[in-house]
Amino acid sequence: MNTRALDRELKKGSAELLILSLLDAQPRHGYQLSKLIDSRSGGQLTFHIDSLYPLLYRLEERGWIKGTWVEEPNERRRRFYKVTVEGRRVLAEQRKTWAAFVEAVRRVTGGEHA
Amino acid sequence: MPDWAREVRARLSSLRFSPTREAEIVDELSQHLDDQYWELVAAGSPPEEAERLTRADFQRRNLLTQYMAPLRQANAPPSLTPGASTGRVLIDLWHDLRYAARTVLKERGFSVLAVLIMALGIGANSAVFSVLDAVLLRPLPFPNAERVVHLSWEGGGHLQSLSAVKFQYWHDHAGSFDAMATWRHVPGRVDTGGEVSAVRSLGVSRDFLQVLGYTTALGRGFAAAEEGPHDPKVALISHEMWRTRFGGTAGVVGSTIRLNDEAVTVVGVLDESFAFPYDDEPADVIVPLRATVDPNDIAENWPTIARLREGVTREQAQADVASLTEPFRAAYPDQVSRQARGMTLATFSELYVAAGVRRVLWSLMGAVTLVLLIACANVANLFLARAAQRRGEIALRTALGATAGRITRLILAESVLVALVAGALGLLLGHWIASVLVALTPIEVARIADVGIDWRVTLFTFVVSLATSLLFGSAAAWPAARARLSGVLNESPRGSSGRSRIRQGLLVAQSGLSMVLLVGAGLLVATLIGLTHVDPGFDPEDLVAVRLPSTPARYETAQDFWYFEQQVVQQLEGSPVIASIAGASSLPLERGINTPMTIGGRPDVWGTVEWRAVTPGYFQTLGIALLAGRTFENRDVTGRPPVAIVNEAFARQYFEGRSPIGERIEVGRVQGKWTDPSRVSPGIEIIGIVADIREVSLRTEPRRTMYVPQAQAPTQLSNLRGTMPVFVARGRLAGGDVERALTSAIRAVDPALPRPQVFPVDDVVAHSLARERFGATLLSVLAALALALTALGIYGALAYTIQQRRREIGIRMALGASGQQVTRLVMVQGIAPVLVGVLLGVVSSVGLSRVVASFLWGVTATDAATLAAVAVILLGVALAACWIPAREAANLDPVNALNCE
Repeated sequence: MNTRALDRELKKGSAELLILSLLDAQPRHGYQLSKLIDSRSGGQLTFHIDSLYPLLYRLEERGWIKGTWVEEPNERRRRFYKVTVEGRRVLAEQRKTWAAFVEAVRRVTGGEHA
Repeated sequence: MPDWAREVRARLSSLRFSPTREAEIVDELSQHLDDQYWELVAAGSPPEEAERLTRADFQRRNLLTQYMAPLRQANAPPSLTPGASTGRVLIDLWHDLRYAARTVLKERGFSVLAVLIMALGIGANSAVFSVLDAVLLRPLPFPNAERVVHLSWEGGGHLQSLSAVKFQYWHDHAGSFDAMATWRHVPGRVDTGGEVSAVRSLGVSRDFLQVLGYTTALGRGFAAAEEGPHDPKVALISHEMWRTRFGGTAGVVGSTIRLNDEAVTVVGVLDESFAFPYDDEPADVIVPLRATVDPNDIAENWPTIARLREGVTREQAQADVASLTEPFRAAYPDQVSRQARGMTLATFSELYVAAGVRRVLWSLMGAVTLVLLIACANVANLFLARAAQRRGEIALRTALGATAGRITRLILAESVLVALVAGALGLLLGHWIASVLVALTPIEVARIADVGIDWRVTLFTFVVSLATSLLFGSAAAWPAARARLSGVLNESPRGSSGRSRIRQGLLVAQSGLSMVLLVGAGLLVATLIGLTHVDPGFDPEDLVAVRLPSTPARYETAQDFWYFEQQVVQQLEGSPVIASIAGASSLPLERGINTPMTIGGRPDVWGTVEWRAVTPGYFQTLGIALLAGRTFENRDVTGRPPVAIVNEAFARQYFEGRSPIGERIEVGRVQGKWTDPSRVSPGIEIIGIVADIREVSLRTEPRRTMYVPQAQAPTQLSNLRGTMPVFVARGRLAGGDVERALTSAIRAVDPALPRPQVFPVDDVVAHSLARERFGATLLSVLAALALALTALGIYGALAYTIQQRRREIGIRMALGASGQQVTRLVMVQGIAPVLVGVLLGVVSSVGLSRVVASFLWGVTATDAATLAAVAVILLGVALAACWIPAREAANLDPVNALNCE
């Protein structure tokens, strides 16, 4: 299967859902997010720096996530993102929508039972 | 470690992030690339390889700019670089106003002071304009008022109402009008269920309502069959009267009311919008005029209004009415005097607002404008001082690219903002001031009750605010813009000479304008003082007047009046409280009756004289000396030979030193024409001469006056104003209850009369000066305001100058100057512009003397004593204003002063 094509198509529809649900679990910075998505999807989904940060900033402008600079001793400051209350609400909705969609697709494409 | 920042920044350079945000993003993305790099290194790649891979990966897609572009933060507006123009005028203007608002709010003390000063000036102007607008400028308050015109006869230099014949002629022959009508005030006394009260009543000709465009809310107007002298009596009542006296019920139409003791049928209720006469309270009751036209009647008391026909312009109508003058002259040569110009159309303000009132209003407008200019000068000085303090900021802006125009615009934005806030405040203040003015106005002025804030007053206030802001703003902005960079940073705090010249100039202007106002006030005060010392010719001390508020219909003829007066006088004969009492047709110094007359046997000797009907004790009660002949006695009644007494002025005018006693007067007749046939009483014999009194006003020289006994007065003259005769009484003891005695006497004679008003004659004398008192007070208040503003300006300017010149003063003192010398130096500097201003003010006052002359009495407009007194006041106040800063300067510690910079 053409991974790149799958990558692109699915990412378009689910990018926000991915980010929000990962940040829902705990606050993370941009690099962590990109590594997580890559590892958890088994390499199927990747976010390049060119698309990850614009997405994060867009979500921040909408007020769904909030970024804060955190300074660890002996370390460079990093920007950690976490989900806001509004973001959590959106996430729940998107999860529902996605689950319904997946279920519908599965029912349509699932094998006929004898 | 590799530096990713440059590459990231390069990808972001075409976007419009704010500098802070851009730095953050660069930081964040660099961190990401670092993490990538270190991961590769940790996985075993050599650093150079790791760097190459990371960089390649970053450059692979090259979509960062494209994905970042839609973000809001990538499209931030350019930062407000002071002095930099965006190139778009409206945006620049908005920036200027925003910045101005910030500045104004930051320097609150200064702004509040500026706003208050301007609000005072603008408020005064707004107030006077609202009065001017209501009285002179606003259109008339009835439907399509611009289609309604007045016809006026221009005879002998002024506009008059028409005579009966003229009205009939133009009514019949002028083709430009749909309708033409006339009206008259008539007595009105309504009796509803025992409650008797006077009402404002008008007699109107046919088509009156049609001319004005009013309709009836209920019922109908008058029918043709109701307007003849013998037709059934009908009336229309006002909406207000219908509501308050008839409960607003529909049943009033067709009902009968008692009007002037007659049964009258109400045929309709006027529309709520009815407001006529518009120079007075609206009428409550309208009845048909029922007047007949007598060709011998040349009295001009038929005011005429007409509605223009559809499609006819005012100019066409003017030509039409004027063109009928010659045919009229040919048909009725006796009705047209030689110098008469003929018929013309006149405006409301020309007819109903006396020229004197118009002059007063416009003069007042001029006076408050002067005050406003002084306020502007004050605020301009404030702005100048502040602009001097902002030298550094202005220099910085200039260095950043601001042009002189931009700097000017910035300062003007501040002044506009201050002025607009002041304008809003001034509008409210003006409304309050106007209502106070209206409440205190001593004379009847048409439509003054209509004064209020409407769109015109608001527009005027706005325009004035804007204009003044540009005025004082540019006074401050111009030197600031000019001195942008030239040595500013090295400049000593003394300030540019340009600024100081403007400051001095403003002080000169303020002093000059204040001087003009003070002179005006001083002259009016001098006039008032002079008038209060005028001898009225009679003795008002202990003299009391009695006036009845309305005239019952049963008092119709002069004989009725005489009978009434006689009985009241008899009632009080021997009273312990009243020494003497007499009746008269009117009080001195109040409006009386005048009439044309001819000297018997000399038809070429005629004129108009004041006419009074009095009872025998009149002259004695008032304290008027009898100079020759005899006074009236009880035998001078109807049926006996008609007699009259004249005053000195009369005798001087018509008899030039000869005694008039025994000569005859023909009243109501001039050059063979009667003004009213029923007023004619030929051959009245003069039996006495009395001393002159001021019948008309304290300002006017005594007019030629004739007195007749009430018993012999013709009814048409006696009842001309429709008012009951008045009484004057002299109390016997100070403190006796004169009022009660008079009231009971009148009640005893006629219990049905309404309660009389009793008041001291001193009030009448004082009231006759009400106009002068009002004017003097008003102008004095304005002058005081101007003086206060000027003093404030002098103090402020001087205090500021001293602060700027501390070093110089310190040097002087260090070199041996005494405190006194410093004081003198400062005072001279402060007073110099005031002296120049005073001089200019005196010259201007002389130049404006023609404007003021008509208001003065007993002083000329260039009265040296007044000018000198006023100059002294102004200089005194100026010296006081200079004193505090001068003392401060004298008490400076030289060491501190030298060290300050």
